[in-house]
Amino acid sequence: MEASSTMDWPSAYRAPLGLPAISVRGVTKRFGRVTAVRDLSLEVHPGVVTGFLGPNGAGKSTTLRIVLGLVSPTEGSATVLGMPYASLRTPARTVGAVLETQSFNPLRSGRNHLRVLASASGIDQRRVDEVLEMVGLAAAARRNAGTYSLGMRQRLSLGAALLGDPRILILDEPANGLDPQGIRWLRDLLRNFAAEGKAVLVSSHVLTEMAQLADEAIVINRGRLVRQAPIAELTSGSRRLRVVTSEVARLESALRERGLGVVRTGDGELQVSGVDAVRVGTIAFETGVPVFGLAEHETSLEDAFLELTEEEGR
Amino acid sequence: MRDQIASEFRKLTTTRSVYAMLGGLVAVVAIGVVAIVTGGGSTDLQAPLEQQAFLHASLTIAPLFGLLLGLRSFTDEFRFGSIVPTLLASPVRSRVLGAKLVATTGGGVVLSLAAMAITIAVGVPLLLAKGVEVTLSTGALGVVVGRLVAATVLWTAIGVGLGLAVRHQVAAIAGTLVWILAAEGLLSGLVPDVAKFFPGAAGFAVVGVNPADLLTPGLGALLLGGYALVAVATGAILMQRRDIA
Repeated sequence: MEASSTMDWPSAYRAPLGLPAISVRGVTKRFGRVTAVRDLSLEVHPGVVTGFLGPNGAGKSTTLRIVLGLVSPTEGSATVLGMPYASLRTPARTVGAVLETQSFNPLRSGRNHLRVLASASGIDQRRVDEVLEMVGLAAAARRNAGTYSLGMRQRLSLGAALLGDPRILILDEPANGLDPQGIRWLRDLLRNFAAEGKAVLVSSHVLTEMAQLADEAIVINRGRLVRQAPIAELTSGSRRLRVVTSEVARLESALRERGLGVVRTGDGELQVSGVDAVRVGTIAFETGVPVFGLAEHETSLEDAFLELTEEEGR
Repeated sequence: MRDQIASEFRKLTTTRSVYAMLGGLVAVVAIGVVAIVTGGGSTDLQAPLEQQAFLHASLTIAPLFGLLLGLRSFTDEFRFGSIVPTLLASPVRSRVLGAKLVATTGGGVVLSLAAMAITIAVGVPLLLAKGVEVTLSTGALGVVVGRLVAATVLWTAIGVGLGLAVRHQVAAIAGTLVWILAAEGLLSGLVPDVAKFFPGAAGFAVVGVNPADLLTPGLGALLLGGYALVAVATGAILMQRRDIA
């Protein structure tokens, strides 16, 4: 594999050797007649942020709950660091998970909610105030959690997940209710987390936000795995280049001569596919054609995702 | 399991509605005592303290509050979704159940002692004000308190088990109250021979209220303990299999 031709991914991504942080093997889950997950296998490795993508109802939440031992699979098994979740000796120090926004007694303060959870995991109560500070809830810590806004609830849930300083983070739709600032904050948090060699699995059905958060993507639809690949690979398959020039005809024929796909998209504008800006710029220079604009137009994750899940649906 | 128990006690002490329950219990019992003592009627005010009719105020009401506390233990968690973080922190479900039993029955002990304390604190001054000379046997009073604590603890455990089995708070509380306050009485009329084996009757037998038609306190406690065991076991078995979705 040509290292130089790939994009600049963290090197840790290329080293998924050793024990996967999360491993799902041949999991099927039926609720009565409904099959939520079908023969699903996937692995999540430390050092990267893995996005778990799929439309609503694709089976993401069910899969995460199976990993966390809340739901038992009809077939197959899921392990965390090689062990079923329920067998982990210190679950809170191993995995931190956020599954939904409302998971606390609204008449208990945010701080007491975390204190209750810290007790259950044998975590020092001083850690509670540290975490409240970390998620930006220190000022509201003594208010009843029922009075919190959606974003604050999300931060409280995240605080609960971070209590044990875990090695793996599992977040189900964490960006719901966060404002753009909150999303940026979440992205930095997840990046730092992964950079420390820890594993992050974050689910979403909003793909634009996933492009900002994740390095690798696992796409599922109707309970089946559709694709597991770096986010860049999902989008780079159909990379297009927009070229603005005063001599459309000459540049078009020059590009055609070199076997490139060219389309006139407007007055003085061409679209070239399957090639990068360096190549097109060089060809224009050799042909002596002035170029006023050269922009890469990547397929959005949204488009790539739609393509993937539609293929699956057919 | 020590951590889980500490966590469950912390839950109890950081929920405002638990204090509201305690306050409500104290208020209801105090009103009951006043009503019984001043209502006169057939009550024998000259009896020694441990046989005073006004003790019934706590003997009948505290176990009911213990039951409610128990019912809320799991149903609160299912209602608010906090069962998820609880089980993520303690994925061995039987441990969560064990810890809840310890903490909630501990809460039941507090409820029953508080009820008895307010009963005596209100009842004795009222007797004195009526010019009654109050006599008591400490040992006999101790037995009464012991029976109240035992009954409340067992009812609390029944509540924990039923709440876990049913999960839905309103259904669990409404169903239980309908049984105790209405259904059991109606059925007793239909099948008077087995009526004394019903849970409510067994509970009354433990505290020694209306003893004529009931089992002895010891047998009552055994039977009520049996009901508690069945309720908890049912909850435990269902919980082991259930998906938390």
